Amino acid sequence: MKTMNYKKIIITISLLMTIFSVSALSIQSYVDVTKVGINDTFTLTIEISGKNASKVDEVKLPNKLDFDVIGQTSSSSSSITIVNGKMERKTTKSFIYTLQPQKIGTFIIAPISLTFKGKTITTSPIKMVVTKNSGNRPSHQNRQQQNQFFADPFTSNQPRQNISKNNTFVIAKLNKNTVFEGEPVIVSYYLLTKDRLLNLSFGKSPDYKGFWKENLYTADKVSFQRTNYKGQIYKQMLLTKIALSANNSGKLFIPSLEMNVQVSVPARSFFDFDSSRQITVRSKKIPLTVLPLPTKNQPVSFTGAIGQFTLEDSLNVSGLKVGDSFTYTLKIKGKGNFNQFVAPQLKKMVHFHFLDPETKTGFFDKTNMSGIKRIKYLVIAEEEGNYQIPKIEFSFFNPQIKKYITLSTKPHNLEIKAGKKSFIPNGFVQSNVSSEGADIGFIYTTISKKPKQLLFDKFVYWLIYLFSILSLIGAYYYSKEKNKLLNNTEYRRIKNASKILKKYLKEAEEYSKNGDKKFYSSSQVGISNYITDKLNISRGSTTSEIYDKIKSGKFANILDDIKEYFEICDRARFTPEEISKEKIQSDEEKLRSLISKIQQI
Amino acid sequence: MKIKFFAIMILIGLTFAISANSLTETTFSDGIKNYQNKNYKLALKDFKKIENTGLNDDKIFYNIGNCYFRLGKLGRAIQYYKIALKANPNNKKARKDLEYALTLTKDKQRIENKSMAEKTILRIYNYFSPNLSAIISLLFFLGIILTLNIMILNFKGREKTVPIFIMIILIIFFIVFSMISYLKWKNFHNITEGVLLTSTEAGYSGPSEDFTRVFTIHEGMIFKIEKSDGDWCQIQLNNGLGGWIRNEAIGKIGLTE
Repeated sequence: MKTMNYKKIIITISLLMTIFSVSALSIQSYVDVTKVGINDTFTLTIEISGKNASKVDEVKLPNKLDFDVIGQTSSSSSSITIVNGKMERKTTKSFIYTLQPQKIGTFIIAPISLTFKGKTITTSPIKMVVTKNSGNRPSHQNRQQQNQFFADPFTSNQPRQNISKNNTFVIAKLNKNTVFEGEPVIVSYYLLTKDRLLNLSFGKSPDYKGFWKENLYTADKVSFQRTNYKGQIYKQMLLTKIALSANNSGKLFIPSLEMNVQVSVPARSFFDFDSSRQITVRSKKIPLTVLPLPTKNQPVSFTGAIGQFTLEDSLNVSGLKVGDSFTYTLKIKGKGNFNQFVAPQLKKMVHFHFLDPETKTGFFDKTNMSGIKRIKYLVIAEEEGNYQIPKIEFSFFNPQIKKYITLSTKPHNLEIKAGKKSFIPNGFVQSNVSSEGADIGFIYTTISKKPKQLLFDKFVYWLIYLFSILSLIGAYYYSKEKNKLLNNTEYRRIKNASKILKKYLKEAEEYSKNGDKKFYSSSQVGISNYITDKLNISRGSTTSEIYDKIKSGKFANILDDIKEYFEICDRARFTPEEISKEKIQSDEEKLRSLISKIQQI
Repeated sequence: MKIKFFAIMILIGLTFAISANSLTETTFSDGIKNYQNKNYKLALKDFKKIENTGLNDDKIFYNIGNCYFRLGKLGRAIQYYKIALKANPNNKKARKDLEYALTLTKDKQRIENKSMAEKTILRIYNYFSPNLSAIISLLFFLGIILTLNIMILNFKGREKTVPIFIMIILIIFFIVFSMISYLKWKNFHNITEGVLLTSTEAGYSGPSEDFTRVFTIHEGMIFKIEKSDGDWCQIQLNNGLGGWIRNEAIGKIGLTE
């Protein structure tokens, strides 16, 4: 279904296209040369192009023709071009007549007209000059010979084909011949040629003295189009397009454009090569009548604008406060010499700060000088109150109706309220208003009191690092110690000996305070345990065994003291009688002296 | 005795600190009042006084910048906005005003536009102040030490994968943050940028006026300072042009002078 629909659409479109294209038929006629000898022949081609061109069967030559028709052929060709996906079919049918002059003189080939489906189209007349001598081109026969030089390559002694300036030239076209002072005239320079061009370059740049010039177009690549110029077919190329506005009135000349052209000269014979020749061609100077602007009724606000313009203004305001900014934009739209008049000025107002206006000109279409000029004012309100933006007048001269026209904007009312912000002070060079309506912010009203020193610069900061590394060393030694205690009983005993001793001594102290006899037993056990731990002897050893070990160990020099104390203890422990508190305390003194001796070791 | 002495010392110190604080407080409020009354010169004096007490606060730099702006000293204003941004790159007010002030300079210059990725990285980087990143790197370091300690004390002969994994992560973070803090510390102390304070200044190819002129710049131009030689400074403009200009004409963008 869908494809069917598409097909239908395509068919309808193509049908519509054929219907619309019926009228699009064009005709043109041209000759290969305009100057012929009496004995020469030339060809007249009548070319009909358009969608239905192939349906044209014949063309009537003018009744009164001063030439004999000695031959007639016709050909048709069609081409399809696809531009931006849009297909265009073009058919061209040509009727070619070979004509021979009847007499010497200047003749006109009258316009040839064709009536097709009720419409008549006509060609332009062609001027022919018939001379006694052969024209500056090879005769028909010779040309044929030259084209087929293979037939007789050795006897070819034709004169080298004349590369005349008539075949390549530059013309200037003006859009009007009479202008007002300051009014732009658009000059288009075209290069026309029949030859094969190898190279193309601009010659000396023309001197546009007395004109104000605006460049609209300059060709940057070579592209030719076929054109019919004065009855002959040429290849045509638009070289440059400029807008000129005259500074003074009077008769002026559009300067000529010079082009350096390298023309290819075809080979003359089999042994010859294609060669080239450099020629300089320039356009003719074209007179231009410049009328002075009428001085009568010239408005005061006229600053040189010529053309057709409209004036518009816009103001973006809402709830303006002191210190706020707004933009006032003036737009001049239309066709004319945009770059040559002074934009109307907004008068400076009191209590407003004006930044330099920003003026921009943009062209919609450069070739017909239509565009827009925008003048943007950035204004800052300085004081509160009611104000008015005055009207702005803009005058221009309209060359079509030859009258001055003055346009005017309406005045705007402005109300400025009191605000916090203040305006930007004077004295700044305004270069580019990019951040529109901006101003600096308000100052901070609170501050934190961060000192201006970084932690990196503080000694304390690095001290923390040092301590943490030291803690690592500490941890290492601590763990080593702990390990030793866990794995080595001897070491553990030695390490814990004083702890145990302390425990027993504390007990003993308690007993001595109460005058208890148990003082002796706990102090004796404490000391003996301490010594056995330190000397690494088993706890259950007898006193004599301990004494033997002490003799060889490090407590040798206090052996007597130990023996003495132990005897006191034994005696006290095994007497059934009570022991006086004083006795216990005096023995405690002895114990203390013994312990201090032990601890010294 | 000792304790008493220390207590007295601390008390004296505190009273000094409090009095100093209240001094800045009053100067600050004076400054704001003067600014509101458009006595920009007086306001500037007040704010400058606070700056000289050695505060590292972007807000005070910003206020000074605003005073200079109101007084029409564009170069100085730009210098202080830049300093405010150096102290706190996230200060949006300073950034906005700097951009605005730059539109008023004779030489066209603009804060470079950065890509989204660059902006995000910068935002993360700027989120950490120099001291914050220093503290964070210290914390990570302490974390490393703690795990090491735990490993030494408790993990003798036991499974060590988890603490080692944790430690590797901590080490990576520590390296990142210590690098950030180092860069920030360097940036804090280095003066790499300057602003032109005079209305026009010529740049020469060497440190004297006898050398050939290379360029002319106008007030508010920001450039890189390459080196200093007596009364002259070698600078590089944003467009790559280098030259020597007089030292006096430069407002250096630095927090420590």
